[in-house]
Amino acid sequence: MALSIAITISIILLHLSIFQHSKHSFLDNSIVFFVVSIFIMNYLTIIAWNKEFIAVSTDDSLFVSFLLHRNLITPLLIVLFANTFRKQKGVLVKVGLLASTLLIMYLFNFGSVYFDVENYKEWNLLLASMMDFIVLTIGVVTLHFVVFLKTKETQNYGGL
Amino acid sequence: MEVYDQSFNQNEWFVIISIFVLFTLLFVLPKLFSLLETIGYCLFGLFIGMFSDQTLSIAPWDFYDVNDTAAYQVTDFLSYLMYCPYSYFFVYFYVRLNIKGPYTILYIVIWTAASLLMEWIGTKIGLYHFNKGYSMYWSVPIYLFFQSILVIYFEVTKRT
Repeated sequence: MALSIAITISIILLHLSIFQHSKHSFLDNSIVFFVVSIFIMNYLTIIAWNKEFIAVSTDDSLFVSFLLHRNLITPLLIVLFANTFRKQKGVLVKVGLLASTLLIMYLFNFGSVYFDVENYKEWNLLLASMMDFIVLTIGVVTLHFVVFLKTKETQNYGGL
Repeated sequence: MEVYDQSFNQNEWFVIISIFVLFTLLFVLPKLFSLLETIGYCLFGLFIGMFSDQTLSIAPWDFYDVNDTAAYQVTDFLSYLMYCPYSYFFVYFYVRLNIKGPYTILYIVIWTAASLLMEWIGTKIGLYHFNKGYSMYWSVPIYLFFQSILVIYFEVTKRT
């Protein structure tokens, strides 16, 4: 059941990413996706296989669910969040958006534990949510940086 | 945990020299892309390298180990950095040589052969250690697939 849920969520998020009204190009968003994915892969490998704070299921279908969660669901959610976050002007709206995204990510983590995709040994949902907050911040900062580089490059090109 | 080697030798030097030579070439060769495009193509390689290794080389699959031990080390991260210039040069020569139509297939096959050669060197110097009957021929479809995705990634970033 975990795999079917993970595939369904992945497809929905892919559709949302493709059809979202973003003022950022595919390249901008792909850079955010790569940076966030690379960070998530590294921290999960360290906490799961080096430190053994969490145990990932050795069942093939549950492991594929873990991969979808790690490499597609979370990064896509962060790309969507970063785009929407940049679009919003009000502080309250931004805080609300952050809180609701963290709640969604909490539910995904809870689902992973519930379906035995991950088994927390020296880890808990609070620590997982703190890491989610860090990756959301990395996503927003990366998108800001990409926009900054783009603006700078356009100015330099225009000045030649 | 499997330990293959504990000294600083061939595999570490191979990684360090490769990073130095490849990144020097990246900066020395005439520029074809904007800074953001360069970052995007480099991150693509880093992402794919990490994704492949941190999927196939971990339990439950655990088909191979990278560098001296089965644990994730700093040298492993450095070896993933080698993939940055690889993917950049893949796109660089694709544009430089004006590869189009069916020649794209030939281009991908040549790069797959070159990647296999690098992998073979990697196995000889202790960069990769195969387990569970994994052999280099399994890497052929993996290279073909990800290099085809890189062509699609380039074409999409160019158009959007």
